[in-house]
Amino acid sequence: MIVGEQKPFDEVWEMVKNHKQLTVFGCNTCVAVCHQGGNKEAEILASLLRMRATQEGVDMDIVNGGIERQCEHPFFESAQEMLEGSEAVLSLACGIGVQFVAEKYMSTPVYPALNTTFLGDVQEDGFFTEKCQACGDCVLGLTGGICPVSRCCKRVLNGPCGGSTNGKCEISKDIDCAWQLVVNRLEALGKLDDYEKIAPVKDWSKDRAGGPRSFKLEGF
Amino acid sequence: MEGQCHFLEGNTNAVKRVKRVKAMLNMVGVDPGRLEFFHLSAAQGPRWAEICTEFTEKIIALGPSPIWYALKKKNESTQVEKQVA
Repeated sequence: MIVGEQKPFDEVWEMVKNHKQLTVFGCNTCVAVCHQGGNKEAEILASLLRMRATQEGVDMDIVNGGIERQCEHPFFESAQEMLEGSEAVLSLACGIGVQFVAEKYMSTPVYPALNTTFLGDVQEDGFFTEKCQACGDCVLGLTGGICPVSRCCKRVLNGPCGGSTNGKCEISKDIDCAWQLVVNRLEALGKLDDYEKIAPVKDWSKDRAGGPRSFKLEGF
Repeated sequence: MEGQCHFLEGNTNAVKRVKRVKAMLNMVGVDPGRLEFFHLSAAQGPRWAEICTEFTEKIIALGPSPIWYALKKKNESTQVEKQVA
């Protein structure tokens, strides 16, 4: 899922304080899982903004709402009236949702309440770790399910590098060496032969490095 | 009491939520001491009364919140505008 973190409150306030009406708009999928941008978080943030507006003597009508996902058109039907009546929208979605709203409502300023950070999993409640960088050319089948693109600091494809020490990365002792994890996993799977295979040069044109990507299903 | 919630972890979760709300209150300039959490059981009537008394005294000593003052100022300026009109 996409992980994000709420921007510092003061930064959010500075973005929106000059509007007379604001809709604080939550997204109840990925960013709700990390408790940063869901409809509940939108309600809380709207409440905090009302308190700040009251304290600073700023006259602002702040409403809050949200939908399941801010990246698909059908979900917006229930919020259409609210968004059409908004002077400005503070979107708690990831960067995708913020842009989607902005595209749908071209004459309405849309502000991001979150910093979108990474694609990751939920290791445990409240702890999210990066696991994928959407490189477009997945090698997980060869590396026992450990991604060298997202989990190796150097994105080495035939690792480890010389900095791997006691299973830790030279960047930080808090970071596991991804290639140590790969070797451990392949050993457990009885597939250490895969480790001996030299991975070819990766086609980075499929990554973001090749420009913004799109994917269209034919005959859909 | 702590660890004896009928909802098992309910009061443990509540402690964490109160801590988060205190941080939010601090963010908007409201004294986080205006919100507190106390563990006690339904059988602790006298302790409940004690907590209520002490907390009320604490809030009285703190005085109105900045939000109250801001709302009061806003209402007063609205009334002045009406009178002028």
